[in-house]
Amino acid sequence: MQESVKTILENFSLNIDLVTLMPEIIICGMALLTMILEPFLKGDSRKVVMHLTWLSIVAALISIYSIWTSQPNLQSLQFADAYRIDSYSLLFKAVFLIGSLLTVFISSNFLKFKNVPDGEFYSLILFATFGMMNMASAGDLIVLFIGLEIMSLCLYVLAGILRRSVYANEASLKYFLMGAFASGFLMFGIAFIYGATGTTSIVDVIQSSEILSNTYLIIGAAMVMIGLGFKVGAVPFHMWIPDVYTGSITNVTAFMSAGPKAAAFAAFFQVFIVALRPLQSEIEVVLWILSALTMTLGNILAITQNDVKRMLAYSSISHAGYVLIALVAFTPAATTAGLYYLLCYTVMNIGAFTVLIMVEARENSDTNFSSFAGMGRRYPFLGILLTIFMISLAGFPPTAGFMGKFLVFKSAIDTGSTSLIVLVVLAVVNSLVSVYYYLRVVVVMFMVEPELEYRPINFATGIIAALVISMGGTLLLGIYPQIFAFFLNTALI
Amino acid sequence: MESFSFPILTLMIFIPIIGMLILAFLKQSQLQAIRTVSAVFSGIPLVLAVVLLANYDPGGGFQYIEKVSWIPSLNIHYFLGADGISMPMLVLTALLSFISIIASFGIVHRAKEYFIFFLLLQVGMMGVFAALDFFLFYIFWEIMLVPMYFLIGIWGGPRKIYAAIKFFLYTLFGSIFMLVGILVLYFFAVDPSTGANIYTLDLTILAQMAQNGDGLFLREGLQLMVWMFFFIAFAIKVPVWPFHTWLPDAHVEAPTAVSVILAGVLLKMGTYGLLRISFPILPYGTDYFSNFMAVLGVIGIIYGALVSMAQKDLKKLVAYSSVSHMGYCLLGMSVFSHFGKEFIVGISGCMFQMISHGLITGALFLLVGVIYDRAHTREIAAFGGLWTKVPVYGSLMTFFCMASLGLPGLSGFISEFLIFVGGFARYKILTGIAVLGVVLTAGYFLRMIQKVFLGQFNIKWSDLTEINFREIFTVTPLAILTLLIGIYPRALSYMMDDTLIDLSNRIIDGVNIVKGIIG
Amino acid sequence: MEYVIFFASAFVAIICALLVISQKNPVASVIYLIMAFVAQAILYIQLSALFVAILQIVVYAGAIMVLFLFVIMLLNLRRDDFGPEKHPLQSWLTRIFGIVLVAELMIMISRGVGQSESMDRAGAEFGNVEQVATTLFTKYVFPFELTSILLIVAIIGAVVLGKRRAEEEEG
Repeated sequence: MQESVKTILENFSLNIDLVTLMPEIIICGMALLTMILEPFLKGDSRKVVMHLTWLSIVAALISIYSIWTSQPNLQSLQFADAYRIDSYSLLFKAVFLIGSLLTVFISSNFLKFKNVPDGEFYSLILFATFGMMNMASAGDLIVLFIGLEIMSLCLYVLAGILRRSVYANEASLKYFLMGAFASGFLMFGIAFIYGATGTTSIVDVIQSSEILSNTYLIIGAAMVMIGLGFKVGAVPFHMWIPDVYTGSITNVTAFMSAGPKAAAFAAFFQVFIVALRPLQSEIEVVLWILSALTMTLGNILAITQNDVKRMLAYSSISHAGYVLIALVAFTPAATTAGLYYLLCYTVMNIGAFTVLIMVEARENSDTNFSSFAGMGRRYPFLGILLTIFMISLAGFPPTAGFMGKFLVFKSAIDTGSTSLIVLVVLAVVNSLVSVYYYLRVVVVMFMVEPELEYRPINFATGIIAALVISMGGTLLLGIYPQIFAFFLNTALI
Repeated sequence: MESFSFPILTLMIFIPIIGMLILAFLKQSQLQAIRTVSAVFSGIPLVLAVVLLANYDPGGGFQYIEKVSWIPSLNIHYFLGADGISMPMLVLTALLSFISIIASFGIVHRAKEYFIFFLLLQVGMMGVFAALDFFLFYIFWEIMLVPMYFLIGIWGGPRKIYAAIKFFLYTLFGSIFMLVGILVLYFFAVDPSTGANIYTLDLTILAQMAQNGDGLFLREGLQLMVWMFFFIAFAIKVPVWPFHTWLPDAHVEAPTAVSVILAGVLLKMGTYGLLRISFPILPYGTDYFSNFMAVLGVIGIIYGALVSMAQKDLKKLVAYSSVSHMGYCLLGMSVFSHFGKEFIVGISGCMFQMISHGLITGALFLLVGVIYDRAHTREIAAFGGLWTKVPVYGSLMTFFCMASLGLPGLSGFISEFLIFVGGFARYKILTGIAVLGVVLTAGYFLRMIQKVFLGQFNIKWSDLTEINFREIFTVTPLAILTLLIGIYPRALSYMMDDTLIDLSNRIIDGVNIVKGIIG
Repeated sequence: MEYVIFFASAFVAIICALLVISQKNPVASVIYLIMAFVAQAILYIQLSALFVAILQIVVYAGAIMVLFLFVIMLLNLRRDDFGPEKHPLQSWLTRIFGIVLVAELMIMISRGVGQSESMDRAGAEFGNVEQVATTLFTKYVFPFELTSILLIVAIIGAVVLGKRRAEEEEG
């Protein structure tokens, strides 16, 4: 007996390549470090935490870039196949990091304005990012689950970080209860998949030549779909989104709508396109319905909102519906398009939230449409920026939103299937509807006179940095996607 | 075929952007500087357009080509060029934009933003007429919507926001169909020599494929579907009855100069799109639906004219007359080439109508704006006997009304004559009805002139001032061109004929191939 | 002997489980639950799943139940704090679903008995500490280590939401 353990351990190799793990190491290490540093810092020196956070995110981005350039066709399985690093997952991580970077930039001043403790905030953001990275790189369903839990726990806390606010408490609790429920489904689904295939490894699931029980596999897939559908906010699992997005402090909302959503989609792509490929025909039907419902309902509900934040929350539901089209298409090109869309959505949506934060961070202000009245006149430049973000969200050329939609629709039509063309037509009609409520912001900004003098907006350095990055991204991704050619040429599997 | 000659078209399209940047750094109060900058940066494209026109070779196909790879992974190019159809439109656009900018000098409220949006609008319009890659075309087509939306929504009349959103949603509704059509074309584009999919949106290649009958262009049902998608997009812009309801609202609420652009250029984009895209790329669909187009055209002519007759508002009258006049375009183009490849009377009538309607209606809107600025009303019944008070204004108005109703010697006559000659060759009854439209047009214009300028002088207007120099300056070029085309139409047809003959050839080849296969 | 232990502990487990749900006093419920867990642990030992048995006692009967007990005692619930009476429909639904669940279990067990030969017996080493450890530290070492991060996050979260702040006390 002793011998056998020894041989097992001797024959076993973790197969770790620290270079390719660098982004994760940087982020996780910095998360721990900021947590340790935080109690020792007082007063102005607390800013160090914020600076360390964004620097570490930039460092992680640089390391991703260098891994990318040095190993273009990277395909590495580490930790006994539990962790998978390839070019596709690297890009996903880049998307999360960009989302987190922008969040950090917009948070510093806003937290002070809202009188929120900022020390743990940054380490929670970093931990959440670390969880997302694990989801994107998971080679095993267990890793995916734990990554998702790390991310979700951080989000539950972040949602309630404004402890004085009743809404924030409600958001946090609601998110926690429903999220825990969804995690239960996910775990149960993974167990069923294990029961059906005898493995939790994502790669092995498709390779397991004999599936022990197709029924169990389908039940498992359905439960995983419910669990992940909750995280991306697909209708009918979207109920938490409006309240959580509205109740949370706005910079957290911006964060939640970008990275975590992309991470949940990364999990979606991994599980359904890689692991459960044998079930393609069944999954496609369900995802089709999910996608159609999600974009339509999200859009219809967004129209009736009177609060810009809530409107953006509902619109984020409909955007999830557009990305789901890429999943229904089930092709490598579609996975690329979905990823590109998520990148576009991250920059333009956080851009819009940045302006929202600037409006909210004034005395006695809220995020109602009326808070925007006259902004276009008082701050024409800011007004034009928000207009560009809005028309980009509406999918208007030549912005990122258009290019993202174009690629997704293209990949869907390329499959030649009639049902997908129907779905694309539905999506197109939906984007038309969405123009109405996105333009409403523009109308209010430029064409409605404010009741009083427009209260001044505070331009902080971080906010300006976030605006520059998100605006640059929105325009570049839309006008000249070729510099992101590496994106367009990378597909899952 | 990468081409690196001097990028004069690019320059012409994008020069207003420099003006926008300069304007962004001016203060709202520096009115004079704002006006000068916008006039200069709108004038340069006009000069360039005239230079291009002077060097244009009518038999040379596409000219001034610029083709640079833009998104290689999607095989999308930055591809510009001009031929006999787009060249006159480019000149018309540059001219009307410049004139509109001059005519907008009266704008004081948020003038800086106004001119920024106007210059952006000009970029979008010029781009549409010069783009030869469908993707680029689509992007310019959409870009133009945004400044238009702001121009109506901020500087418009009482119901401006309603009108702006209606305009925006209508047009977007159409362009979304266009997008789906574009995607279908993209996936069925086939290399003529190898038969492999090449995924292109190059309009010249697509047209070539259609003529040779490759790929998609063999599929009857698909071609009809895509044709319908494009038709919806373009018909909304034209606007073809029954898609016209955005037009009166937009026109009435828009400020004068924007109405000029709307009528003079934006409406032409619909017909231009049909001629540039639907006709050469989807010839079978064009042939199949030509009767349908003719019927819609005639309905538009009669409907527009009848509604115009009932209007009490000067601007609405001119707006509905546009619906009627654009109907002629549709009738003209629907008889493209049934009588041999050289038969281009109908299509060339349509081209003439596009140009002359742009000139005449543009001028009419300017003149309506002139009186509105002074009287602050546009109600026809409120005026009377103005001729004695403002003779110069009155004669200019009469001149353009006559041009619009097709008085021989002016450009409106040439276009309508060509359209009727072409129309009678194929649709005897329909054209007969369309001729009735001319009578109705004469009816409402003459009635308007009589009510406004003749009859009892309304003393309320005793301090009405005569049209000033700047306003005369804006309509004079339009009057000269109207007269020139009316007297010497060869000036225009000389430019277009070769292109139009080539277009007819393409359609007939494409139709025959598909029909040959269907049997 | 084997059968005596099996039936004795199974009987205790079922009786205690019934008592858990029939008790009005939550503290008593928890104590019965602990007893039920212990009885189950004996069954695991009989199945030679030593590790599972120990986990059952240490984690469930020990840690989690003690935590439960603490919470219940801290909250100091009285009878009238147990909330309003349930809606009659609710209690009817409970009964119906309970019956459905029992029926389902019966069907599954009866089917399982019929096909018992198709099920493989777990190997002798199944469920022992060594095997769990080798799997945990070879194949699942990464998720195992990852859970440490998860726990840290949970602690941070609890602290962030739970701790008092000087500035908030002032306000």
